[in-house]
Amino acid sequence: MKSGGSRFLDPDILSRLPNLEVAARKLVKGAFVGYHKSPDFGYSVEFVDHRDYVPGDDLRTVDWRVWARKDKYYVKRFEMEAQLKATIILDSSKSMDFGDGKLTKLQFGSYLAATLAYLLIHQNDMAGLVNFDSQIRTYIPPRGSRQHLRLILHALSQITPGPATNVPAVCHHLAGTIKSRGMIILISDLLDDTEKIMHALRHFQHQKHDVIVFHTLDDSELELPYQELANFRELETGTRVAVDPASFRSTYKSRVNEFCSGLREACLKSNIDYNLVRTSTPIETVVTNYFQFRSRRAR
Amino acid sequence: MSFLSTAFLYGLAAAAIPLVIHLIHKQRYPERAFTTLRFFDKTIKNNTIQRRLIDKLLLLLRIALLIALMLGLARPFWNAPLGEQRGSFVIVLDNSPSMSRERDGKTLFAHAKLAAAAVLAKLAASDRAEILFTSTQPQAPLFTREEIADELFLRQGQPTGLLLTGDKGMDLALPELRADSAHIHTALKKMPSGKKAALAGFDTSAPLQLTCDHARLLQSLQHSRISALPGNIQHTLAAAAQLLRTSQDGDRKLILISDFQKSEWRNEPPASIAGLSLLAISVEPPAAGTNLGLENCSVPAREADFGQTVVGTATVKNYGSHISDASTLTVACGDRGKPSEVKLPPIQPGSAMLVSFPIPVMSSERNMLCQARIAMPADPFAYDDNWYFQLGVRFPVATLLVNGVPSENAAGRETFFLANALVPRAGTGQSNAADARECELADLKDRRLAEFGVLILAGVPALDAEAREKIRQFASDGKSVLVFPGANSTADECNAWGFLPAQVGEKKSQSFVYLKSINEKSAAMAGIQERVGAGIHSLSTSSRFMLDPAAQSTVLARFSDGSPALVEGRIGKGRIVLAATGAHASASDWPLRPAFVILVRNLVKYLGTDALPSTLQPERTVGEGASTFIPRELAAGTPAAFRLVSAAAASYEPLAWMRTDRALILPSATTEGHYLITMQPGVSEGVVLEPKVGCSSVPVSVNHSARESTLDSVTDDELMAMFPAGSASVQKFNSDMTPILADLRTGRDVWRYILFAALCLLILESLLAWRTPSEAAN
Repeated sequence: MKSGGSRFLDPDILSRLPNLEVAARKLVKGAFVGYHKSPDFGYSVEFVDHRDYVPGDDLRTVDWRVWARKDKYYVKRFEMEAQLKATIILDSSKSMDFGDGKLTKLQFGSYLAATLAYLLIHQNDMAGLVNFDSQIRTYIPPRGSRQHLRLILHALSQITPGPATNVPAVCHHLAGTIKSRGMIILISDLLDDTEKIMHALRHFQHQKHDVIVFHTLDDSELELPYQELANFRELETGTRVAVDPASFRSTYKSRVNEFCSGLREACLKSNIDYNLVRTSTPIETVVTNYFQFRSRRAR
Repeated sequence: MSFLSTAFLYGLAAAAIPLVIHLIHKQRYPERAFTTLRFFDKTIKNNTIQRRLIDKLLLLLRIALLIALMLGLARPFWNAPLGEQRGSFVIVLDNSPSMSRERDGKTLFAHAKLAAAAVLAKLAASDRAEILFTSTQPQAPLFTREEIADELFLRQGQPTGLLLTGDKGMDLALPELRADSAHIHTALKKMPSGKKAALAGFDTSAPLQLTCDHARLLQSLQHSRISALPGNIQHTLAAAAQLLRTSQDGDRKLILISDFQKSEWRNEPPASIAGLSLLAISVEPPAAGTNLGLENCSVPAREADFGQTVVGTATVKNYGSHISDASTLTVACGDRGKPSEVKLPPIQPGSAMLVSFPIPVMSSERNMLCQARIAMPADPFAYDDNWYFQLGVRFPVATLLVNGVPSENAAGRETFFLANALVPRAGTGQSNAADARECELADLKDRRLAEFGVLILAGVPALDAEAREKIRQFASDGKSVLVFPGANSTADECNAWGFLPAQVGEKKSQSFVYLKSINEKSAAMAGIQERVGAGIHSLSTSSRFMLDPAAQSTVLARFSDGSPALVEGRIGKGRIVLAATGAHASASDWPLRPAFVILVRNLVKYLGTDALPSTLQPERTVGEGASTFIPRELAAGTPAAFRLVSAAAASYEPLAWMRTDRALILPSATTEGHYLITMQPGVSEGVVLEPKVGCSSVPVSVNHSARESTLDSVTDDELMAMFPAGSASVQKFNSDMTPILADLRTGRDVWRYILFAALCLLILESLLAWRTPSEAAN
């Protein structure tokens, strides 16, 4: 799918880049171009307390209001102040290997994960990767080095679609595994039991994680643009059913919207960042929009 | 069910096309990998099932549409009875003579029989049918003993006789037609199994009855033949319509198979067929072309003298539409002599030519049977090529001349001039008017008179009693006497005979008189005035007797003074003519005049003919019958009737007859030719196969009907115009009768219904295949 403007990487070009690192770099750069200022992705919205200023601290962290009141220099301490530990959980189940556009959801997710990992490590945060389908296939704990970034990117490039998905079970397992508080970035199509997924995501929150969900769907899944009668084959189960899309489209779209709305509302209630991402949307736009969102929340 | 256009049945294979497309299309439904089917659930399954059902229904509709289209184009027709509904069909078959014409090597009647058989074959077992012929069958078919019993049942009271034609088993022959067929039933018990006999009836048409016995109808069809009688289509159609109206069946149809000759369709069809459906099948006669036929033959007189040559005339007519080729008229008369031939030039269409031909009167029979025949190469219609006629033969009368006055000189004999008149000398060019013998009066008593027909007494004076009785008996038996008084005869002597037709009065010898008037109404004087003319007045005399005719006598001629010159009377069965003057020159000048010869010959011929009325019957047309009185002396004899098959071979075909007390009747003559109605003396057992010697026979000449000679046919448009609109259809006979018989039964419109059904299927398929507009634009 062609990106909306020249500033975005065309997925065709993206796919021809030598490796994910290059792609991620370019994506980030593109995101920065649209954003116009350095993103402070590492700032958590969780303000913890103040500490005394010591020379060398970033003046931007000085709480000037407190100085105005007390005439003393204090810096804000955020939860992730030390270093954000973000774990990118990428769904690589069979359903993610679907895409009628230029990119499959898995490819899109991989590029998104790569971009986020690059961004995090670039700003001295730590990023980790978990790749799962019905079970965890890859677990790379969060680290902050460039070597680690390459490891993540390499792992992303090696991902192959698995069988069925089991988001709740994997999330519950990770919630119990990841001890230190951090950021959980889930990239998945969430085609699983919604209640169970939300339960698992709340498990992360219970562990004091900041959860961000990138609900990745293909345009076809949202629009069902097909005209002719076809045998639709579910990727994960292989079940086939002959469907006349033309006569069913409106019902399907309402059901999908209902599904997405349900997830959005549930995430909203649970204070989870929910982002419905179309694979036709340029990745740079996705990242940029999320940066803006995070910035608004941080104020 | 049958199909009219079977080629379209091959198109039924096209019904597989939608199925093939469906199978191919089904296999090529794209398989689309999709992320999840969770949002499809029941709705989509129902939608799928519904869609599949619709697809299958569309498939069935399309297959059914193609099948219906091909079936409709193949024009099916259903001719089996639908439930209780059955049909009644009457086939009117034209077997008139015009159907004897040939096309493609077969007669039109043969083609018509094929068409009728095809109709019968198309009927269902429960359909009822009957076959009527427009003309009476020429011969009764031959039946076995069992078949005769059935036929008798069908005839039911019609006069019927039993003949064993061509079979010499005489003991079972009952030619007499009787309404009560009990005698036939009795005879049948004696009839050997396996023999066949002919049933002859005055009216051979059996009572009309619709029957399901198609096999019997087919058999009667196979036995049917072309008739010599002109067809009466109007009458037959009316009878057929009347028969059909007795049926309450759903299908009632008249099927008329004919060449539709114009002469048979002068009038409008009978009103009785109104409301009935008619299928007219034309056997497509060949073009009229040229048809020479004999319209008539005639002879100048009913009788002619033996040895004489008369001139007959024949009317040859070209009934066709093209000029004829040269032709030959052949006339065969009697049983002697060669036929005479006359070459004729081409005759224009519609024109007739009068042709004269000689008829040598050379027959050994009293009635000379003649046949004229016109022959032209490639004449398509032989029915009217013959004409049968008769000519009465007057044989020289056996005459005995009795000389009343002996004379040594031949010329002195009273019979001298009479003999010369009757038997002229050789070289005179005249034929013998009589077979004349002479004798003296003295020898009369010893003479056997039975062999003579006429006795001429010339100059006979007194007769003794024996002579008088002999002469009286001679005349009473039907013979004739001609009396010329002699010069020496006296009135008393003549009156003493007692049987003269007039009282003989005084003799006048000085007054000169001549024959002034003759009674042309009398048969004795017929034709004399025409032949003699004014010469009759040359018969003059100065010596004659005054005659006073008796009450029952007839004056044949008068002298110029009004006195009778010739008087005729009767003696028993015979006749006697008395002349007022003698036959010798010594008595009068009569013998010296040429008119005398004519007068004497005429008188002898008249006196020599049979006293009974002429047996010559006027000519008949086929279909007419004839009758004759039975002579009293033969009343106890055996009647018989024949058709002359071959005069040369003297071959006769015995026929049935009917009899009343005094009349013998020949039922309708069904073919042209010569017929004989005879009374055989004595009683004969069984069928008389030929006329026997001594029988009294009356010939009847039967000729064709000229109505059949004009061969032009009614055009289809003219035929359709005759019948009420929509009630009739006209078809041409074809060896493949299937398309023609499509209109035979209800269901001929089935193909229309099927095509209409196909159209409905098409509309339904189109509606079902129509989809709501796509929402993909969203």
